[in-house]
Formats: sequence, structure tokens, C-alpha cells
Amino acid sequence: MSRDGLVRIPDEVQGQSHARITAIVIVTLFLLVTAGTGLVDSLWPLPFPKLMGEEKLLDRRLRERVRFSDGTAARLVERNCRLRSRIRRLVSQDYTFALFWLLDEAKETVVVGADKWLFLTSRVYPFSDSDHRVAHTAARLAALDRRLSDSGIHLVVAPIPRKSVIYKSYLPRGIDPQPHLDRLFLDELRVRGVHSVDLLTPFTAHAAETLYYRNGAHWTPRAEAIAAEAVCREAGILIPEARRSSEMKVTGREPEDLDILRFLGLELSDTKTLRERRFRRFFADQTVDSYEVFDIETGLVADRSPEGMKRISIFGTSFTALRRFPRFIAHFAGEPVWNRAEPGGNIGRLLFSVLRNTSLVRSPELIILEIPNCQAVREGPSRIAGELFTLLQPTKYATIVEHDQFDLAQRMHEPFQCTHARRRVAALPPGVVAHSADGIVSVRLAGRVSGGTIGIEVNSNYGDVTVPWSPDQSELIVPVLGYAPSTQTRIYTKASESRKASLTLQLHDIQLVTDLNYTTAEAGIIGSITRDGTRWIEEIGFERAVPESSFAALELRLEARGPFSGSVEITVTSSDRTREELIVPVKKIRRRGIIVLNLRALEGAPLASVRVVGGGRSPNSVVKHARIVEKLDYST
Amino acid sequence: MIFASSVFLYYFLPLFLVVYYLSPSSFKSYAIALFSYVFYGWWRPDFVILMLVSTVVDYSCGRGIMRDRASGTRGKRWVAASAITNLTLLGYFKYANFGIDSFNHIFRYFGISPIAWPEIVLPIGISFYTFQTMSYTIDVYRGTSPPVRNFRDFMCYVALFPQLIAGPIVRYNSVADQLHERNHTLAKFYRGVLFFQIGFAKKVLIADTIAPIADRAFELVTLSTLDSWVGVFAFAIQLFFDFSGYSDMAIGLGLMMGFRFPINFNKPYRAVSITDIWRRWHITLSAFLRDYLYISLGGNRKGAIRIYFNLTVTMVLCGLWHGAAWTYAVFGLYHGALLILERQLGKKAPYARAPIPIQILLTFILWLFGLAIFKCPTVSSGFAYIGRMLGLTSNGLAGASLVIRPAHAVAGIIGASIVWLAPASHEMVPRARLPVIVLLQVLFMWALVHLHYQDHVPFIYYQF
Repeated sequence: MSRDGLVRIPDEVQGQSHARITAIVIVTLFLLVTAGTGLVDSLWPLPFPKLMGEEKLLDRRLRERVRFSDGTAARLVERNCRLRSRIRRLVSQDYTFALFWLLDEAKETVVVGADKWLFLTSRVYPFSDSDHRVAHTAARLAALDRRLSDSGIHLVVAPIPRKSVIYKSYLPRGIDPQPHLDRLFLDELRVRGVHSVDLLTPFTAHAAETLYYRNGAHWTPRAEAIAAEAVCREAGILIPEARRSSEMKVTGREPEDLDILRFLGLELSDTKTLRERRFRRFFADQTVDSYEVFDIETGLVADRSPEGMKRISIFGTSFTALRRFPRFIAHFAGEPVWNRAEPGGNIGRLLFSVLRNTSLVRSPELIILEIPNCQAVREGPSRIAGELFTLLQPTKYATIVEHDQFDLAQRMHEPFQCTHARRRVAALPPGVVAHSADGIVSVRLAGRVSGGTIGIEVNSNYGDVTVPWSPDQSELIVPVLGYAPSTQTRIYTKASESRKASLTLQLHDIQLVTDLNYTTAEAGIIGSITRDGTRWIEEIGFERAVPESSFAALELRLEARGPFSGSVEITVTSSDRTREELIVPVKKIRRRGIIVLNLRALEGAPLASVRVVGGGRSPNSVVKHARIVEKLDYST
Repeated sequence: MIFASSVFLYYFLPLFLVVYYLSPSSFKSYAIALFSYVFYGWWRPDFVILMLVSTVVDYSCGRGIMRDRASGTRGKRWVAASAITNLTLLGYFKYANFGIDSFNHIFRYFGISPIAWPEIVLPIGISFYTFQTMSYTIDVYRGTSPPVRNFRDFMCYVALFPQLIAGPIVRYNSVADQLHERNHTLAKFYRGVLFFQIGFAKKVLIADTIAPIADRAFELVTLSTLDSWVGVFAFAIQLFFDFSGYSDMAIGLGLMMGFRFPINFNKPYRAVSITDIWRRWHITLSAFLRDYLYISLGGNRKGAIRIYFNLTVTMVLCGLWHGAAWTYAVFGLYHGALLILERQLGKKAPYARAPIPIQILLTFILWLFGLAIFKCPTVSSGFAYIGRMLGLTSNGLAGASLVIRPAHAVAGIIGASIVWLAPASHEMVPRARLPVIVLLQVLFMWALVHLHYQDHVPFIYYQF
């Protein structure tokens, strides 16, 4: 360092005689390596790699959103250079392999476990709020279940346990995949009454049989067979073995699926090159039992033609698409299965694309929805598209709250400008209605949209859903969703980012509604307030508490007299002792508020009792009216 | 664009060098300015306008000062105009989110509805180029530098891509002469290549390899005492190799264009006190704050209390310069307090009489406590992390929370060896012998291969 703090460099190369030659060699080498790589990659680039699954989706999203001004175009150029770099391909493959082989080293996208088991990082580490994400996904599925049942479709959800949970023992020390989340997802579905298949229990029991590939992200044929049988049993379509026209047996051994190696940086697409043959040899010792089903030639390849629709259809991701899982279901159910799964597919969008198809010869009677838990745990609700709720509008509804109780940003019938930024159209003051936030309550918007399609976001404070509203629709019924019971409802608009024209919304009516049939409601008998230690209890009985439908709800209209904190806990007990009590905490409800609780989890079982419990000083009375309301077949 | 990226290394740099060396002398500054705008605009083209505004304003202010001086006044209004413009830009883009968030926090506490505020994108490197342009106006005002001869040279100075977004902070008076006239020799280019290779290897092979340990340690809430020390040590190594690696690359690129930039790091982890560490760590920032802030506040001239006040203000602002968050303010305050303590105790400081290795160790430990707050997202999480370092954790002394793979351990050991045993880059490069040069070529090639292998990892100091 010189006195002025600047780096001190002699003007000439000094010292030994070869110093000048060394300098020339080093400079030439530096320029050759940098400029040479650029030249080779520019003049002889590799073809763009074939992207699969989520990579493909991400790539599409990136290209859709690309702009010059915000630098995304530059990122795309960088990415393309990287993916098409011949030099990179040449040098990084051996380097990657050496790191993996010698040091168990991998990129951040892959976790290397014991015995070189590989796990995708994104499927190992949940988010800090994964508990909420799981519950929110379950709430969306519960709302979807209600809407599908309106169309006569039975939904069965099959959550696939994570490899990192079943084979947790292979994970490196210190990595916690939070296995409770996989169980939680099942519990959250069950508590909302969504018909779901517990694959966690059989998978844990059969873990020794290699249910997931060591170097692959997917399940083995053995796991597919176990899952298919469990799904068919749960859905009530399992036929006895004697009636099955096909035969399932182990036909030998087959090589492992090595799809995680791509994330590691090893491309095994080209078996001709010496390097890739060497890589394959290294992984060749890993084989699994190969299962095959004979005589039913259906289900393996996705059938997307509307004419091909069968009674049973399956929607899902790469765990279903191009695998044997649908064929195994067909085997256990004894009938063909219509397979509409896509690698990395957004299940909501897949469902939407099928159900909106007017040329569909018939609707499926049973939809099996395969959801990998890694999606429920990490990405959560974004995977179930809002468009579905626009498409599956309830055929009938009953009003709970009229428009005069809403705070409106603009007066009714006046045009409301929609912008790229989220703008609030209306909100229901907190505490007016408390509900399960799983589609039992919806916001009904009547009005006119002009200038193009707008996005309507309904936010419950514990979650949200965004649905499109197009100019040809005069009414939209959007479920209010969240991961916990909510007393808040806010409605926002947002124009799509690519939209340049002026978008307006003229609201003619706004209500909070439910798809339940109030005319057949069963009224409850409200007892007087009693005390139990520090708590007060108000018991409600029913003369005939047997819901006819599995889609039932409990409605409590409050008119609290005396001291009332606004926080209560509702406990619903079924006379069916095998069912757990339904306990729902409600916070910040008004004295004259309404509570609507989903009884779907009871699946039509009779109610033994309903108790409203609170703390602090006892009020004189709380509930004014209580009744069980049901969703019956409106067509009868 | 970042130095450790394919686009920079294989396309931008070779093309720039070709254009630069083929340009006649009078056009070299234009070539630098043009390529620098592409370099900066690669990240966000629209923010190039912001840099141009800063350039035009300070150039005009410099001219204004000279005009005022010719007419017998000092030109104070031009310094004020420059400071207001630059600090307003910096305040809006860097500190507005922080200010509004802090107010909203208070509002929410009192039940007042928060201020709706769209999130402002922080232009990378704004703290660096804003300080540089301000240094020009102040130097011209103080008469320590002559005003720039033409706009071309000033554009080149402000936009100079090697040090544009992560330092070293090149003050105008350091490069005023070089902007106008500099020589291009094989010796400079060659040493520049060596500097660049050292910096590149530091960043890719050490900083990026050890980064996951630091990131993971600061993500986890359940961490044992030993793991928390490992985590903060990993961060100290990562931060040093990342930032000093960038500075070495910047110095190297500067030399390739004939510039001599200031040294930014001088073996900081071998400092024997906190006062010493700030003379060795990010030297250009320390010098800037000393000359333009601490001395302007009165420096050491106005009694003990005022010195302590000046030190505290300077260090808190030094902390906030790194980022708009309370953690950085607390980091600055912590260092301000340590500097005051060292100043007050002088040779009575507990570690002043200890052997040199103990002094180095104690200084490094004090530095690690500061880094724990620096790295955490909130002050409370920073203190919680320090609590874990002090054993206030339910996860025991040596629980297994961090996954340390062989590569992490190797990078950590090599990093520590370089930090405490190897000479600094600016000492090594001018004296490098053949075996060292060959080793450097191997490391550079290895780093290039590793760059192909790894995904994009930005420099830490880009965010500042």
C-alpha cells in the first residue's frame, strides 16, 4: 500500500528474467479462457434443454413476466446463456460427479443423505408457516368439495407423504423435515370433512420395501400399488380379488428413476457419451421390484379427449402422469380410469380445464385428486386455482348478511376503477359473522365488469382466494377461506399485470351467503347459562338432530345480554362416540353476531350436544336462535 | 451484473477490454462510461437514470463552486445543493421503507391505522456512488481537489464499473489525476489479472462454499451454543472473503484499465483492538466517515464528551450506511461504545497488556458479537442469537442443528488459515513468485469450474 492508500504496482515487470514471459503467459491464458468460453458458447451453443415439471412452469412464468425495464429480460438472457453453455456442460458434469462421489457434496437444491440417498431440498424444508399453509390448502379443498358435490361429483383427496418423512433416517444429522406436517394435512382435511386417503400409515408400515427411489424424487411401483389399493378402499370402489379381471404381479427388477440427478447437475439424457455411460454404471446397481398389471390397457397414458371421460377420473402431478398408479387404480376398482395428470401440473388448473370443457360427454362421478404433501406444505393454496370457483358456482344460496352491513369504497352502481395495485371494494366490519372459513360462507357479488376480466380477492384475514370476474358474468359467488375460523371479510380488486385498458366494476349488490337450504332448518332449544369453575356454559339441545345431508352447518344467532367478552368456544358433540368432538374457538364476535360452523366432518351423524363456552363473568344469555341447516339436493 | 457470473466473465469483460484497448486515448473514458452504464443497467435499466441525475447534479455543483470562487465567494450553496440532492435520493430509496415501517410499528401499537406505502426497490450500490459523487463536491469545495476538466471524465469517475456497486469507495481526489492521464502497461494488466483471480477464488471457493452454514445458522431458532459459534464464525469468514474478494476484483479490473484504486482490506482479523479493526476493515468507508463526518463534527478537538458523542454518531451512521434496519444501527452503536471504551481505557484496556495472539482473539470475539446483530433480521433476534452464543439456549452446548459437510469444513479451515497466516492480496501480488502464480492459476480455473457448477450467488455488499 502506498502513502495515499492506493495499491502500489511497479510500472514494469521486474525481478527474474522469466518474469515478463510469465506475465505474458498469464495474461494470454486469462484472455483465452474468458473470451474463448464466450466465443465457443456464442458460436456453438447447446440446444435449449428439455425442461420438465416445475422447471417448465417456472420457465413459462419467467417468460410471461419478462420486461426490459425491471431487468427480468437480462436475467432471462443470463439464464439462457447458462443453460445453453457448451463449456459449462463440458466441465461441470465431471466436477459435479467428483464432488458427489468424493465428498457427498451437492448443490443447494439437493440434500445428500446417508448411503448417498438424495432428497430435493424444497421437499425437505417446510416454511416457518407451513402449519397455516397446510390448513389453508385443506380449507380450499373443502370449498372445492362443496362446489363439486353441487355438480354431483364426489371428491377423494390422496395426499402423498414426503420421501423425507418416510425415509427420515437417511437425512443428514440436524435436518428436520417436520414430519408432523404430513399428519396435520390429513387431520385438517378430516376436520373439514374432505374425503381423504391416509397413505402415511401404510407407507410408514411398508417403509422397508423401498417406496421411494434412492436417487429419484418419485415413488416406486410398490408404493404405487399400496397407494392405489388404499385409495380404492377409501373411495369405496375396491372390488374383491376374485372379481378382478386383471392380475398384478412382480415381473422382475427395473432400474431406479434417477430424476434427482438432474438437480444435482448430472444430465443422463444422452447414453451415447462415454461420460454418461460411466455415470449410469455408477447408479446401475440400484434396482427396484417391477410391478405390472395385465389385461386392462388403460390409465398409463394420460387420456385428454373429452370422449374418453370415465366414471372415475384422476387428477394429479408427476406421481400419477406416465406412471402405473392410475393403471393400478383401474386394477383395484375393476373399471377404467380417466387420467388427467401432468408433471408439475397445477391441479386446480387441470380440473378447471376439464370441467369447463363443454364438449365433455359426461362428468366424472368420482374425482381422485393426488396431491404431493411437498406442495401442500410449501406452496399451499396457490396450487388450487381460483378459476375453479368461478366455474363451479353454487346453484342456490341463502343470504346471511345483506349489503347494508358492508362498508363500501364506492356507492352501489357507481363505477369502481380497478388498477394493477390491489384496491379494496368492500369490507364487512369485524365480528358481524364468524365462520369456519372453508367455503361454508361465500361473498355474493352482483354487478357488471367492463374493459376486461378483473381479479376479485376475498380475504378473511387468515387467508385469501382470488377469482377472475369476466364481463359476461353478472354474478360471482366467492368462498371466504382461511386457515382458521374468521370474523373478517374484505373484498379487493386487481387488474392483471399485462392489462393496459381501463377496467371498471359496477357493483349492484353484495351479500354474505351460504349454499345451505334454510327452509329445512332444524331449530335448537337453548338452555340457561351455567357455570363450571371459571367458565360459563350455554347448552343447546335439538329435538331431531339428525342431518339428512353430510353437508350441514350449525348456525347460531347471538343476542348476548349482560357481560360478554366476544370470545367463545363452540363444542359440538356427536352421538357417534367414534367421532371426535368438534371444538371451534371464535374470537371477537359481536353481541348480535352470527356464527356459522361447518358440520361436514360429522358426515350426517346425529348431534348429541352443542355447548357455547366462555370465560370471565357470566352473561345472562348469549345465543338467541340455533339451528342446523343443510345442503339438500335442490332439484327435488 | 456481478463479477462472478458467466455473462460478466465470458462476454462483458472480454468485449470491454477489446473496445477499451482499441479506443483512442480521448475515447477511453467514454468506453468506460458506456460499458459501466450497461453493467449497472443490466440489473435495472431504469435506475441508470438515477445515477445520471446524481452525476449531472454533482458535476454542475463542482462547476458552480468554481464560478462562485472566481467571484469571491466560497460556493457553500453548491455543497448544500449536492448534499441535499444526494441525501434525498439516498434517503428516499434506501431509508423510506425503514422509516415508514418504524412509524407504522408505533402507529399499530397505539391502535392508529398504518400508512399505506408501496415498497420501494433499493437501487444496488446507491450508497457507494452517492458517497463518491458527494466526495467530489466536498473535495472541490475544500480545495483539496481541482474540479474535473470535462463531463466525460466525471461520468467515467461516477460510473466506473469495477467499484461501482460494492466499493472500494474511490474518492475523487484519489483518482483525479488518473482520470485525465494514466498509463497502460503489461505490468499493471498482469497484476490486475492476479488481483482479479485472487478475488474471484476468494468469493467462489471460500465465501460461497461456507455461506450455507452461516445462512442456516441464522435461520434456525433452535441452535446449540457450539453451533451458534460455528454459524457466526462461518459468517465472519464468508463476509470477509465475499467483500475483500470483491474489492480485490475491483482493484484488479481497475489495474487492467490503468487505474490504481485504494486498498480496502488490510488483514482485518489480525487487528489487536476494535479501533485497529476499523483501520483495516473497509478502509475506504472508515476514511470517508472520518474525513467527511467525524472531523466535520469536531473530531478530537472539542473535549472528551464531544469526542464520545462524535464517535457514537459516526459509528451509528456507519451502521446505518450498511442498511436501513435497526440491527445496523445497533451494530454501529455497539462499535461506537467499544471505540469509546478503548479510548477511555487506553492502555488499561483488559486486552491491551495481553500477548498479541490473545489481543487478536479477543478483538475477533468482540467482532463476532457485532456480526451476530449485523446478520439477524431484527434486533431481538440478534440478541437472542447472542444469548445462544452465551449458552442461554435449551438446545445444550453441542446439539446437532447444523449440517457441516466436508466441503464446508475444508473451506472454513482454508479460510481461517488465509485470514490469520497468509499475506494480504496487496502484499502478495507485487511479490508473487512462480509457484504462487501457478497455484493461483489452478485456483482460478477451479473457481471457474465451480462457478459453472453452482447457482448464482450475489455479493453480500451489493445490498448496501
